[in-house]
Amino acid sequence: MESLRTPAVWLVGAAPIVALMVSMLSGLIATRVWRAVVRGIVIGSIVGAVGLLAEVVQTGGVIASPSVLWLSVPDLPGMFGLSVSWGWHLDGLSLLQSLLTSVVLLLVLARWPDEIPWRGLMLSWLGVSLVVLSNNLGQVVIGWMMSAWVSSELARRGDAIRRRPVWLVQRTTDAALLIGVGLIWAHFGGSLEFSAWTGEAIGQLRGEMIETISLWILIGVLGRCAQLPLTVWLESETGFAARSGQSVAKLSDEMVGLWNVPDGHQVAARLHADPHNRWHEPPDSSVSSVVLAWWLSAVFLPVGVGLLLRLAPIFSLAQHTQLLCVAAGAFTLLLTSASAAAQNNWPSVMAQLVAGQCGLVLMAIGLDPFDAAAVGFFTLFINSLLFAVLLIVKGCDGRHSHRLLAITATVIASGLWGQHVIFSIIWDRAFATTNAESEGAALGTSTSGILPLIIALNCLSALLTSFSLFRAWFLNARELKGEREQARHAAAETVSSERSGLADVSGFMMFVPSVVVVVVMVLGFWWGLSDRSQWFTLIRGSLPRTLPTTASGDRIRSLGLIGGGPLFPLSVIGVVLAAGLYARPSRLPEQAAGVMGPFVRLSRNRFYWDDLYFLLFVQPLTQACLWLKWLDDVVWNRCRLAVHRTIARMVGESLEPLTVGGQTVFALTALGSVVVLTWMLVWLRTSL
Amino acid sequence: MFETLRNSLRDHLPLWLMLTPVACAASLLVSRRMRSDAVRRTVVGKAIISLSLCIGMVVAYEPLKPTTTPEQFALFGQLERFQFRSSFNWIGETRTEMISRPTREGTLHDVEVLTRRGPDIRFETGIDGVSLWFVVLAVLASSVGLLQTTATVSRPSLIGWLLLESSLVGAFVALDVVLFVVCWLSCVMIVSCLLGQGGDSDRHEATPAWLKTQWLGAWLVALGLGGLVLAFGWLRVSIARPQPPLLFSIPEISAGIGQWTNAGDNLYLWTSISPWLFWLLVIGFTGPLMLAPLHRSFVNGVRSAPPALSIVLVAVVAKLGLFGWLRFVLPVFSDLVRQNSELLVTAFGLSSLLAAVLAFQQPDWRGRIALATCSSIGLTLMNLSTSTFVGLNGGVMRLLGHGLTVILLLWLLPEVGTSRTRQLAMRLSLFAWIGMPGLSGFVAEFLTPLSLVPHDINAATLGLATSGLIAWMWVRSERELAADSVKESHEPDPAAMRWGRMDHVVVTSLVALNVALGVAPQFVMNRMQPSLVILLPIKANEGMASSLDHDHNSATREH
Repeated sequence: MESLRTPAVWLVGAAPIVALMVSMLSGLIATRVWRAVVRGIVIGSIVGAVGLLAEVVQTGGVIASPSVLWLSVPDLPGMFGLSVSWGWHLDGLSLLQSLLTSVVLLLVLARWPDEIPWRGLMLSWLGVSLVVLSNNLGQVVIGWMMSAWVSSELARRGDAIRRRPVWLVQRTTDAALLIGVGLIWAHFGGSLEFSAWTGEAIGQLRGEMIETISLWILIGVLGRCAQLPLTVWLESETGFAARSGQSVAKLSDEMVGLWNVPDGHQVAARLHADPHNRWHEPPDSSVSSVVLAWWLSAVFLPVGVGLLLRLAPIFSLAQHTQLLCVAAGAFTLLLTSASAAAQNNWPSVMAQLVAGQCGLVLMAIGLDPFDAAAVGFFTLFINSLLFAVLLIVKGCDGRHSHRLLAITATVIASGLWGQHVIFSIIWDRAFATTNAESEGAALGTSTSGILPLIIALNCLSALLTSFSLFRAWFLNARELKGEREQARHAAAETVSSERSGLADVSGFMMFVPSVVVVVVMVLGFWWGLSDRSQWFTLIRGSLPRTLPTTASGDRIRSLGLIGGGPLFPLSVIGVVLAAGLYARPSRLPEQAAGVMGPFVRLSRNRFYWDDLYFLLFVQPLTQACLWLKWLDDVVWNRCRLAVHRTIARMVGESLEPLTVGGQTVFALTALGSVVVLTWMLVWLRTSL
Repeated sequence: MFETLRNSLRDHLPLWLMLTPVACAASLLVSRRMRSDAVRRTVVGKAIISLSLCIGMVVAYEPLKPTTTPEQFALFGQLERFQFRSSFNWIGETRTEMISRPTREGTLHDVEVLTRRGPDIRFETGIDGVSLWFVVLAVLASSVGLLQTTATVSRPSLIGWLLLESSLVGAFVALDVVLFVVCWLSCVMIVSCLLGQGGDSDRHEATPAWLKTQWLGAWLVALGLGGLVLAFGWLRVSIARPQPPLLFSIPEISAGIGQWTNAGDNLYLWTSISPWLFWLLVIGFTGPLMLAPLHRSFVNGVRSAPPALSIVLVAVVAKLGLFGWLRFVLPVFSDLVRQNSELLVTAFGLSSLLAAVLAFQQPDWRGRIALATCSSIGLTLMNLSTSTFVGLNGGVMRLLGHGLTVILLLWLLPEVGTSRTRQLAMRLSLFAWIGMPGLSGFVAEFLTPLSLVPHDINAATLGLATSGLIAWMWVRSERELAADSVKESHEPDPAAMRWGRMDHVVVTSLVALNVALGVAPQFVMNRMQPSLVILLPIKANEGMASSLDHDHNSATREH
């Protein structure tokens, strides 16, 4: 095992950069060869991560790795230095994240379009790997910014002039993260290493400073995880973009129909009048939106959560920021669930729900940055893979894929993958009076009054989640049925049935392993929580704690069963509602929407939300720029010229009497100056 | 023979770099019948020689070279910062004098000593770890500009170009106050001539405005530096030497001020004089930088200048004032910089933000580049004003990154939207400016907030907001590259659409340099840091050599 460790470390750590270099050579090597090599590298990375995970489970420690200095500013007396190196911190958390990234990447590569180069994707993988495997915050910042930039570029390849808020939001989160990192650097002895956050060092910080650091980092994470109020980037990259097979080039027209922006409304009018303000249009030549949505949802969101887990020693002491984290997660969960309930296609539903489930995990982290956070991350891990199954299945045709969608949707709606456990933890925090110690440690008695509201939001979101999943499933079923009827009436019925049969075969081939994967994941989650399993301990063990342990795996597992109580009935109600409204064509949805009035429109028209961004940020900034330019061009420049003119006039008037004989005066002045200068030079040369 | 030649070349590299363009200009002046292709070959040959000398200088510079004599150790400390020094008498002379000195027995006897008669103005050149990179940038920018302009300008303009390169290098390698001022004024005059001769129809308004600001700044600097020389002379007055000769040597002045003002009457004298000199030099060096809201003449100058001149103008000439900050303001007045750092950081931050906001609404690329440059210079000054080691590193890295990026961007600019390769290179240069990881601008984007956060978190937010605005502005501009409307409005010239061999060489080299600076910045910083330490307040200098030495050794071991 010892001899295999070093190759495994290199397989995990260096795989992205080697894959990037190989993909750079795409023009020099045969396509089949370099693609096989890259896939081999990814598989090697998975194997390496699994091997190292097994070792970490056994030893419970961190595997050391070599580091290379990237930037160093030495310490000076009274001034902190700075050192950033490339290195790998291989513990349970980082290896699980790396494993998730590699698995998702392998699946993404299977569906990646042939005409789009792999370089961008490999660079994005490198950025994500730099974050998840880093041993210092400097490397985290580099990977964070790199992955955001490349993924954003992937999503807008060949796009024309449009003002999209993606860059704005990403830069905001980058800036927030940088300030947070700067504060950590300034208050932890000029070190960016994770190991600098000892209990002693944290104990020396003022409470306000801990809150400030945590707040800046949280803003960065909220942006990366597409949480309120920074949801808009994921919305634009996956929500709109994720409509399979649809170009959004006709967005303005489509918005009016699909998103129910009524004709004559000012938003619709603006869209028609100013086509450059279509923020969310993916270009026709871009990467398939489903694949991209998959990559972003399954890889990007865990990156933000992972960073927050790394910061658990600091974050656990910032009670107000924790509360903010819980609130942001809860309201995002509600908003995205409501929005998902208005989407008509699977990828849009998925994109909304992924962000929502990430909010659920943030709630867990806010409640307890150690034990509940470990459960939350484990949940996110399972969740990402479940959504990956859903998205891959959506790409296949046939009855079996439809059934598989039903099974996966049932699992997600039931909350068996971990939603109940997190809900139970919230429930426990809110109502358990016996465990006062842990309650005080988590949120404080003064702030725990908000927890009943959070519980209410969770219940509502559980209802909406199951409703949205099964609404989309029923709509999909109706669509399939319509297609079958059309095919039955078509002239080339034989050919169609042959194609359908082939699709069924491929669907069946997909069906069995996918069902197995879903079942194994769900069972694995519950087994992972038990004390016999090391997985839960693995994540918990990766978090250096400053507070004592508050719960064990069995305790959390039993809580999960409690939490299922209120959520199961709500989920069932959601399914029943969806079946009643959408199982067959009826006028019931319209009537229900009429009863709900503006709430339905608000949930459907996410464009209102983007419009709010436009009104709050883009428009004021543009106007401010225009005003300042006007001030600079007109006011300031004219004032300057006026002053110049006034001075020139005054000087001219003053010198006017001297114009008579001016040449003589000028000649005498010049001569006098030359004489004085010459004398000075001679004096300088000879004096002293 | 070969060894002698090699040693003379190696020991006087800055001087050779300064003289190579002069020699090339002289050859062009003498051989009037030279054909245009021969002229072009000569210029290309000069560029190759200059760049080779630059590479040789970077390789040969030893950042941790120990001082060799006790006098140097006493004045400069453990490390010999200024290397490749060449010194020639210019004004003033050394004479032999007989003076009487008492012996141990109490009797007097005459001793023959060398004394300085008149001012000690010398033609002295040399480089330290900071000016090294300015020289590289100047040679690179002027070589690229020359290559772009060779085919289109007249021979007198070409000679002017070569003299401009010589003056720029001279300003960066000058170790004498007078030589520095002469070279700076020479740069200003030559740029004005080239701008007036080759600019577009707006040059009649742009050139005088630009010249006035630069000229005023240069004379304020001359006044301030003259005052500094006089003040240094007053500080060295003693009973034994009531009238010490005036010293114009920059290393001696910057190192000696600290030693002569430790305590006593000199300290009182210095505290009375230094604020006046400080503000004179701050205004003198900052004025020509043309920060917002005084940016108009710079923006008009960049808009009006011919493409090649705009490269040098934005990449190097605009940074002369910053070099003055690094050469004079920070080492001599480090305490005053620290005292006024709140004011300076806020003022430069607001100016930088204003420039970024104005750049947001500029309709043309040149205007955006000029205003983004103003913003970048403002951010650099914010970094320098923090008086921290991280801030100084960040400031100088921003200068270098900006220089490399803007040379690439302006080289590609005349034919935006014409070919895919050009568009890709444009995108890369814009991303480098924005500060994407792995590219040249990232190091500064990373170091700037880290240096500002401990200073003032509001200043850090201001800096990040400015960077964000510039990034947003470039992203919007980048979208224009792909837009059909832009292609139509530019009406591409078929000749301009060609992607020649020269384009390949220049763009590939600049892209490689941009990536190299982003991926391996420590190569630059290792050479720079020992020279930056001297710019910090005296307290921080204690033990810096050992710290740097230890760090360097550990870095070497790790590698």
